[in-house]
Amino acid sequence: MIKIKKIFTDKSVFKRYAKEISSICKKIKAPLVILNSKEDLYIKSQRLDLGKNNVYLTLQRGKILSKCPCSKGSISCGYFVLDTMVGCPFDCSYCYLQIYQNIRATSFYLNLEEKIKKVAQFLSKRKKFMRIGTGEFCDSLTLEDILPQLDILYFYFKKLPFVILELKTKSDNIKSLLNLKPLKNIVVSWSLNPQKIVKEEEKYTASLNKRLKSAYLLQQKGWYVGFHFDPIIYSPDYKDIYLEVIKRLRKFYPKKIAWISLGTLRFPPRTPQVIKERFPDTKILNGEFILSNDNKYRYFRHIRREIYKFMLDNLKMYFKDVPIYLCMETALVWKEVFGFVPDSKYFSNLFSSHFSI
Amino acid sequence: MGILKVKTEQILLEESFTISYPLYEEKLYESIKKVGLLSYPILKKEKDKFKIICGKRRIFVLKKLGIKEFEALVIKISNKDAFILGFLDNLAKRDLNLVEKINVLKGLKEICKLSWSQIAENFSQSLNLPSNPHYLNKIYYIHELEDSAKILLCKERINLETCLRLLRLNETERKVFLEVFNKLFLGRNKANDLLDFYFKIRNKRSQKDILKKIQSFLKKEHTSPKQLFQTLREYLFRKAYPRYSAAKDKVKNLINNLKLQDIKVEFPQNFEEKELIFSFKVQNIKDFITKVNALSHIDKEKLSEIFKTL
Repeated sequence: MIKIKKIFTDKSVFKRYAKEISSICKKIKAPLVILNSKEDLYIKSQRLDLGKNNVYLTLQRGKILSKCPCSKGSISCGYFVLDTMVGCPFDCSYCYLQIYQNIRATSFYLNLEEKIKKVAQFLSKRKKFMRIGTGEFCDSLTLEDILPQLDILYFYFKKLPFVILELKTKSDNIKSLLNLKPLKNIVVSWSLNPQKIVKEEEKYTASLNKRLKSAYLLQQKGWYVGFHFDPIIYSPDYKDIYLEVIKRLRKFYPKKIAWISLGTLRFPPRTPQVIKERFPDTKILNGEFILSNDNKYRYFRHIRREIYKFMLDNLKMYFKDVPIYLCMETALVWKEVFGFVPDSKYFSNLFSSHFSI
Repeated sequence: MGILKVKTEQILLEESFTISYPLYEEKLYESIKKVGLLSYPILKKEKDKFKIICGKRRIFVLKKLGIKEFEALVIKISNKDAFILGFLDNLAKRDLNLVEKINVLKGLKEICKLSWSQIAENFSQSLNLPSNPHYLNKIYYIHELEDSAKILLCKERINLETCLRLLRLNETERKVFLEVFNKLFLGRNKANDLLDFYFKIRNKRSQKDILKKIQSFLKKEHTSPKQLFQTLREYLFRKAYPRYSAAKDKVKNLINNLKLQDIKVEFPQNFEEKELIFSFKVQNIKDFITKVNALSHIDKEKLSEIFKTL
């Protein structure tokens, strides 16, 4: 279990949520620091200490539901992001939060239920198929033991059968889910990488074994599971090590695999500098990265094409009916790998028919 | 204690409390040679020897000049205070260079036994360094670098970031890159460019050959620094980006094989689109028709090969 060392909150938030905050502190057994200003938590100059073991109890003041920004010029899969938390106790070398996050703590929202309730009201009126995920700015499950959110999400999304909620994780923290009745519209998904990469580049995360074991256990209990090979990291032996992972997925029941996504490593221009500083021994920057049209560094397109074709061919051998898609890829790469470029309806048809919604 | 006559042989030059770097300075040498010492070095007595608190450079010059005895202020002081006195004395008189600042960090850590947080809080401002303990801890290791690197750092021919990256190389690799940086006056971006490419390939078996090749480039005479940098960069880039470079070369060759005179054919350098731009200038209708004719008779097989390669 993740150990939280410090809890921060603002004076104004403490006034309003004193009871809730005290109970969280009691449960976590971590000291509370009441801040005069959020600025005290800002990361100054060098972004070396991201406060992986700190929590900032605050309020969600902006838009909680937004369209996944995808990437300029990429094919969007129509995903929506539910901002339930920002920050992650894991420390993956490639993580974009290193650039994005500006405070030394994971922000946990005390007004989550209020916000989710409003989203649920909006979605129930809209009555349209949607895929929403909470794992964009955080790991959906890793803090669930100590800062639970699942009950709230479960309660509201249970009433929204046409909306698929995805909980994305690199943990094996599935206890809370095991106590719940599986819902067809809640997918628990894992980011997968070969154990060698997990060990070297995904600090503090659960091992590949543990991730697959958890996924299997949940699928056996009746939950839909999903897998994300994202980011796929190129190395001279990538075929061997990724094939090994694909082979281990064979034991999963394809009909209960919600989707498998593929995405190769990519990052905005400022990221390599931070990665070099924080992870001087990382090998992830060793590839042939080229600045692509969306101003992100990606592997040279021929390498991406080769990786995707390899992954797709091997995944299709076992999972020909499972939706497999590329995350944040260009139309040209889609065309080269899949032979077609998806239009705006492609994804909603693909997923809704798989879920029979 | 007080002003005493001290023999230069009694000085423990290597165990001093001072931070001065580099030790030898031509101007100081000339000045001492002409007028002698203008102020007393400050020393701490250790049994029958002396450790320098202030004046290491001056004593170094005295030794170089063959002076056997000089006057100094000898004081009784703890090691911690001796180090702080030496460092504050230097700081009051002049700006410290980066190596000296790192020597200060080393002394505060090792002699004064302070934590990085204490150092950051109490000394980073006077040293004009960021007050981040992790950062201070990181740059502290620069003291492990060899003199050839430290001298380049003092001369500002390499920067802190480059130094930190040099620390990750082994001695042989570092020697080669220090030779490069010594020969070429590179800015931060250019120096890091070379290191970036090298880090991408350094784990490969060909590491030894790469270093040899770099050295062979360095030995070539009559090459301007600009040319040398370009050659090195191109060589390392090709090693670090083999597939991209091969594809780019192939497309360039195929375009040349189209033999379109005075018609420029460009392709996306990042290969993110399969497209070509044909451009040409015309001066009259005849010229225009000639170029359009050339385009309409373009070798379609060769053109199709280009699109395939893209």
